[in-house]
Amino acid sequence: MMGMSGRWQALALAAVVAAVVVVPWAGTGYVRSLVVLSGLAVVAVAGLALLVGFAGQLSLAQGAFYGLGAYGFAVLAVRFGWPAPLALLGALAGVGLAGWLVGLPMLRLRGHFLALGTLAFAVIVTVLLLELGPLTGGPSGLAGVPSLRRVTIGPLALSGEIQYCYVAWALALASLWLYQRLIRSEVGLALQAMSSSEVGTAAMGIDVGRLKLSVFVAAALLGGLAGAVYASYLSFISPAAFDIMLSVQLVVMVMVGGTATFWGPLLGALVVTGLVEVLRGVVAAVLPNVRGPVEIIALGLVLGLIMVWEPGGLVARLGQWRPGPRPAEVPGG
Amino acid sequence: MAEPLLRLDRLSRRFGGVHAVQDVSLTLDPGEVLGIIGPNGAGKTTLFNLISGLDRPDSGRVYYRGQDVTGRPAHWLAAQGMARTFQNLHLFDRLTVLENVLIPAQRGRQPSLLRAIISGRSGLGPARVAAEQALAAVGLAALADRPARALSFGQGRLLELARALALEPRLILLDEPASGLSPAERQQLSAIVRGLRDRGLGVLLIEHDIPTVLGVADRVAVLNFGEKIADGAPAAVATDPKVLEAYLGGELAPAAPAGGRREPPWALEVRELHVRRGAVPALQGVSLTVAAGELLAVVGPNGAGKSTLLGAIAGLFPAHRGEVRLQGEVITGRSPEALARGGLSLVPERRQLFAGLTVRENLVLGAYPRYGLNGAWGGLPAPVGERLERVLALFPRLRERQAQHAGTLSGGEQQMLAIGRALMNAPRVLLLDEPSLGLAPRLVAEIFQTLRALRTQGMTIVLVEQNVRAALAVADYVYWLERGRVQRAGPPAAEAALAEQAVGLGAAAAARWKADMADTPGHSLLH
Amino acid sequence: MQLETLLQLALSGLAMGGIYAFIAVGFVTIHAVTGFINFAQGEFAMVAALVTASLVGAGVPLALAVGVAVACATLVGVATERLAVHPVRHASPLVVLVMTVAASTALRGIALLVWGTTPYSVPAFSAGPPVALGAAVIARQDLWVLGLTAAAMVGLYLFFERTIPGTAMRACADNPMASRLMGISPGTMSLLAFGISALLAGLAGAAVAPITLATYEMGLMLGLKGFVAAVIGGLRSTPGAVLGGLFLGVLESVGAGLISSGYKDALAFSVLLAVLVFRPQGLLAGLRQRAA
Repeated sequence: MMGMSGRWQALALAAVVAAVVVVPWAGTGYVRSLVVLSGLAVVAVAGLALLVGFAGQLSLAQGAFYGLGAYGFAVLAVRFGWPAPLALLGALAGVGLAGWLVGLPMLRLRGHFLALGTLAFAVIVTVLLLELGPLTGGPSGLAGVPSLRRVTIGPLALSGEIQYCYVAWALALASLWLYQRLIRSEVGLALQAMSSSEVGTAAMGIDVGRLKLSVFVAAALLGGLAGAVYASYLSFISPAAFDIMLSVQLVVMVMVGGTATFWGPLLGALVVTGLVEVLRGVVAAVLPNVRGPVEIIALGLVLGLIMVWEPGGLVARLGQWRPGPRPAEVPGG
Repeated sequence: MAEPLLRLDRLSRRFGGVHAVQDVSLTLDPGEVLGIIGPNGAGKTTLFNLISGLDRPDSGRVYYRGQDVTGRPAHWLAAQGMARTFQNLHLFDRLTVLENVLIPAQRGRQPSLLRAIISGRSGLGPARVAAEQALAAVGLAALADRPARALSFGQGRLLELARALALEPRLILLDEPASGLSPAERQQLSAIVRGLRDRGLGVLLIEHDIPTVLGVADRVAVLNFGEKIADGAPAAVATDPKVLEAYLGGELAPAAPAGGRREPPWALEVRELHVRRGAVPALQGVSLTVAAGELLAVVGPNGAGKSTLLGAIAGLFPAHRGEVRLQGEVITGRSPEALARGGLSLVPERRQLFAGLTVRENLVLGAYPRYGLNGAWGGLPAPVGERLERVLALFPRLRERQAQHAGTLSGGEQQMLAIGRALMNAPRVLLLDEPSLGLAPRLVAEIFQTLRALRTQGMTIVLVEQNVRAALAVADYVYWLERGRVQRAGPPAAEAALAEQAVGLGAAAAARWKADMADTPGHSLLH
Repeated sequence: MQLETLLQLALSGLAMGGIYAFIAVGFVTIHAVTGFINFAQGEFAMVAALVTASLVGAGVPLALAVGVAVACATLVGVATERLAVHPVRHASPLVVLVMTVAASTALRGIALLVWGTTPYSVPAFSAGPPVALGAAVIARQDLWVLGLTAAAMVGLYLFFERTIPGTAMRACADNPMASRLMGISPGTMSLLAFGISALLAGLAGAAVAPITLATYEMGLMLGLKGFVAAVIGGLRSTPGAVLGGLFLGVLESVGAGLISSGYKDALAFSVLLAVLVFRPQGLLAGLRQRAA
């Protein structure tokens, strides 16, 4: 756990909420888009953190569920003309079903087989998005995804972007709340037990397969929810946004944030989103001729360094930086 | 009451060609403690896995409380009140001590995401009481909020027991609960087990430490090569010749002593060696010396730390404290690769051949420490060829089978190959771990003849054996190891009479545990 | 569909199959010796393909360019082992897998920085029209690939069966504990395994560049397909990996011809899912048992 008292935690949380309220008004359009995207990342990462961080099951399919949520929502709304709320529910039902169907056979696989099996699923999803042209619009994408209705509160007319900032972060905070509820409950205990010893957990009367599957589906649902809001926010989606690198990036966020804490998903999503943006800016300034996602170098390096330097994640490392005298150095240690 | 708590009907399980468990039938009544003993590799843990649903039998049935539960999943059985502990602790080390017990304290109620979101931490309320009771029952209540990984090994064993108790079991399977425990902790464990029996639970107990089993069990079953060879009252089993044979091996004509000069400089010297295996303190200050050209035997009961000793000398397990010297040079902390290059060869337990490689390739790799990657990319260097000839002369049967895969050899041939492979290194000291394991008496005699021949040629050999009688027949000097410590040492002639006692069997042992029983005040230690 | 068309499709698939086989053998070699899955396997091929393209573009003779490129790929493989795998070798296989994901991502990013997003073309190893084979034709570069595959398999066989280092590697894969007792260092063997695998991947990358063009992102799919091939072969046997690769290449080509080329990748990964779920021991394991 973090070396932070309850009061500091509450204060930090209040600071996050304050930032979410203020930043959209103060920032530029670019900043607002970052606020929306990082909020959605928190939602997807909170789900994945349960699976990877707590249950110890590496899934490379979270990006695919994000994509399925986005396309499910868009296709139901655009192609079938469903009203937005119904389309959202339909998309979530679809994502949940997909998660269940994929998880059922796949969670029998162990270790790297699970990682690569989920990766295979992610590739298949990308291919289907590209190929089912009549439904998805193929490589050119799908436009006209319905957006939120404009809301006016008294004299305040919220612009579309500001609304999405608030929606994304309301969902982010709600996901964190769910995440926090789960990790402190019997589910969190059982997941951590399972990551230490599946055999031991089964011998204690826990149906390990069922538990894994329910967490896998829950993670998929959160990923799908984030994806659906993403589609609505951009109003245009194309398959390229949901390729394998999205899954890798989400895993990096989980790893950076670390596993066993409330703050992990929040910090991981913010740090990685920020890092990618900063790097993109730097590359564009220094090497104006280079095109393409050069920031993946940093993703790779950051992931590597985290794994070597502090497998517990950034939060674990921060938790050790407490004010006050440092413990005496151990000679040669 | 017609139906026993647990009934096994001709249970069998094969792994490859090996019958790990064969046609084992057992019954256990409520309020009974059944001890299951047997030499290494007798199939005891496999049997537990078959009962507790972690593995499925190839044939045979398991009946629990009158119901056929064969092939039911482990979590279902656990929810039905069948609890088990694990030999190599399966603690949840990311959780606290109390949280470890909270998981079984749900008693088969499956964690539900929805319920957890609604009730959060408070959903654990009712289980908490049961968990705290279970911790109190093993005396760990004061450590409830410690992380489980901070526990000592003995406390870890008790935590495993508490977790099993929290399931509120009717049947409890204990897999080596006493291994790694101090004498005081063993006493506490025995008292807890008796307390469980008196509360009407059925207890199935696998244990290496025979005195503990004989002291606490109402009935003892003995497994050997996967088959049940005895089942009865502890006193009868302890003196059963078949059981003694399984543990000690057959008699072998003694060899002529080597002359018996034991003095420095030592070929190999171990000083105050402490070694942990995982959290288990396997060696607790072992010191011994090996004179040049002698055959030294290290004997003792299962779990005494014999294999750990050889592994630690060969560099496989790091020493916690103490040191090892090879011909006066300190070698503690060196890698097994470096030690092999330095002329120390270990023939490991269960032979550890390269099963997918041919006999010849196995032997040639035996010379690898001497030649390494510099060795030819084409033909063999001349010295390797010569040595190969000598090894094949020693084991003519291997010559015929040079092109065969090592995995297809018979047990005896595999052992010969394992020894031959080590000899290819022309070792300064040869370490042998349980060469008789799983072999028929005739083959044991043959292998031991070869050891004698090697000793006569002046090779220094350290032999670890469960087969005490055979080891005493060939050894120049004997160390008795028990619970990670040297108990005694001396020339074999003086020690032969004590063989039975060394493994904790025989009439003397039976008398000893009877006395122990009389001293212990029943189950009153149960809180 | 006519039989001739089917035959032609199968024949065209063989070359890609040979490429997959190279990568798959690398997966098997590393997995056997270290127990790890190296996600960066395809990136080694990508490095070789791009280096070949650059050198040829700079006027270096093709043979020399391929040689240098394969050497570069081998170096990258060895560096990956030392920098990404060695530091975490005692952690769980999952941590190692994540490390190789990291290495693969970083390598792709570096390639993007150096070569950009432009695809580079590399001339075929020998010029000329496709060769007629009965009713079907096969491109010359495809013949090169198949020839290289055959040569590499013979070379690997000789290395593993006839040399001491090769035997030591097999021993390390067979029983790591016993091989340490024989003085065989697992660290050296791991380095050797990565070196060999990267060399094979490098050959594949240089050979595939004239067929598919060389881009910074070609490694991901090559690596994944190679992994699929290795799993089809059971992930343990080198001949299995080769057959798995050829099978996958033919399957993709025939599938693309019969359905639509867009579903090619989905087909490969559906096979992977099916194998993982229903036959984790590989499709070919049963065949071998029946033959034995």
